Amino acid sequence: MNKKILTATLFYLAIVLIIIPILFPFVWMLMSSFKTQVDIISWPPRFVFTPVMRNYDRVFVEQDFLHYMKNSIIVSVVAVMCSLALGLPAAYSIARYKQKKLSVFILVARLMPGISFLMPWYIVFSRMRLMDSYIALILSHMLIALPLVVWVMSPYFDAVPRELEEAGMVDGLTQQSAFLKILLPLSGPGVVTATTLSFIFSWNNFMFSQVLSQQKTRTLPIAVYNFLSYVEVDWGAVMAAAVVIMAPAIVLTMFFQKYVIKGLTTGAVKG
Amino acid sequence: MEKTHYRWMLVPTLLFLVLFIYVPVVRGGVMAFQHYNLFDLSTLRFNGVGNFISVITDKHISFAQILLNTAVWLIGSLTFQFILGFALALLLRKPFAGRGLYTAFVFYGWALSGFAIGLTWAWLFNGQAGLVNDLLIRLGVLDQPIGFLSNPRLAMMSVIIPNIWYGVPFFGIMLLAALQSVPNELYEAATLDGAATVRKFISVTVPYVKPTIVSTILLRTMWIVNFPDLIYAMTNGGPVNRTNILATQMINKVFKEYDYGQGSAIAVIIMLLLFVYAVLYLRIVEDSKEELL
Repeated sequence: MNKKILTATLFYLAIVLIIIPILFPFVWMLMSSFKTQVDIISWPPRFVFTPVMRNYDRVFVEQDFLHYMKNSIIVSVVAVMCSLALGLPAAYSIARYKQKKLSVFILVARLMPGISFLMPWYIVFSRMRLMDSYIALILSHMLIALPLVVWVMSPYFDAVPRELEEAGMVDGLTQQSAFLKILLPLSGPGVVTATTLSFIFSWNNFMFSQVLSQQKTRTLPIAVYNFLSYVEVDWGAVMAAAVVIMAPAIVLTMFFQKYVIKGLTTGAVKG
Repeated sequence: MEKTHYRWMLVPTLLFLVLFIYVPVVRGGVMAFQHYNLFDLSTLRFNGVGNFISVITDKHISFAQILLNTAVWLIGSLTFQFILGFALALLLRKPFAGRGLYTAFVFYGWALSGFAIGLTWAWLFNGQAGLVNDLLIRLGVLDQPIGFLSNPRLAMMSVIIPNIWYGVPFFGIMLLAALQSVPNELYEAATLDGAATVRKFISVTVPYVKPTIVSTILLRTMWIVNFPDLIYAMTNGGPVNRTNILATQMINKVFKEYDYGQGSAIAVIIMLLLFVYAVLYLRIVEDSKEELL
């Protein structure tokens, strides 16, 4: 019996020790974002201090981060919606017709190093005078979202018995409306998963926006990158900016935790 | 007739990917054999393997150094991501009070922006007022603060650590799901046969989750090699190219030198290396191939 208690104690000690290095960088970032210029550079670092909003003021008032946040939201939301419109029927087709070769074709597309196709993109879009337009950015972010939607959704569609659609088609539905009215509502959790995951990966993307956006359409991470070069030493403001980038993704994963974890495991690797 | 109905639904996606990924990749491949400098387009011409030669024999930046950096970055990150992720998954396999919430917190890192994580760790490793310095001085490891990111001998380690931190959740999530799908009967049977814990791990657990291990390692390799965001945020390839990997060097060629030809040549090299790696890797672990495709 004593051995059991000892094992349990060691186990809980282990999980407490493990969580510290995992959570601490985030906690320290959050703390730093509320420090004054003096507190932030004090040595040794201060754990107790009077929190101030100064860094967030800098980020939102002086740097107009709301504008970049709006850009990020527009690009991610539209890219995800367009990807669902294209990707859901594609996933359905792969699930029903077992087109494994084609799904590999889609996976390979996802694994291409981004910058290898971004150079031609840059040249074509600047020739079409579409640089610094939302169109170029949304199309590029669809390259992240679309393969994800297809990979996450096809196992979900696969799991719905074919008989259900066939019954609907006997009742006079066309195949397309059977898909829309019967299959899609049954795959609700899958759609939530695909939407959340592709939104997060699009939101976090750095490279595409770095190449294809300029002042007007700059997304959040790029805005921070540019802001970085002229406030080099103002770590408080940089940490506030990092918090602003991370916050939406954290809120989403906390809300949709169950779906997201399942999606990462079922959809991300296997077809 | 029915098959054609299903098929057309795939067409828009395929067209999109062909048009926006495959065509540009081929165009980039062609560019690798062209002299293509954005600042001086009048010199645009085919120059054979000239770009590859320029990249490999670059006098300012040793290509061997970049390859070595890429290998260290990959192997260092991947090994520890895998070991720690697997250990975490094993620890979390059995139910305990608060496991759901705990799992959520342990694995939250995957959802964060790599660039923002890079900024956070750059601040932690800061040479003047960074917390890591403070911690190491308190522990008696250091006498005074050091510049982790500016010291050529420490810089690579200092970008690999955040990358491990960032990648552990991916392995953890995948392996935890695989572990939870191991049928309990297998463990019971092994227990009846008198197998000890270690024996059960080697004979039951590992073979069962092997396909997940194989595919996750392959996918993570591609990710790590093509993931410059962290390095970009922390060191930008420096100091003296010690953290400059193929992916960051490609970006430098494009953004600093505007040399699209040489940039594309590096992209082709990366894709070739990854292709060879994938083929060799899958051949070595032959029996798992079915599972991945």
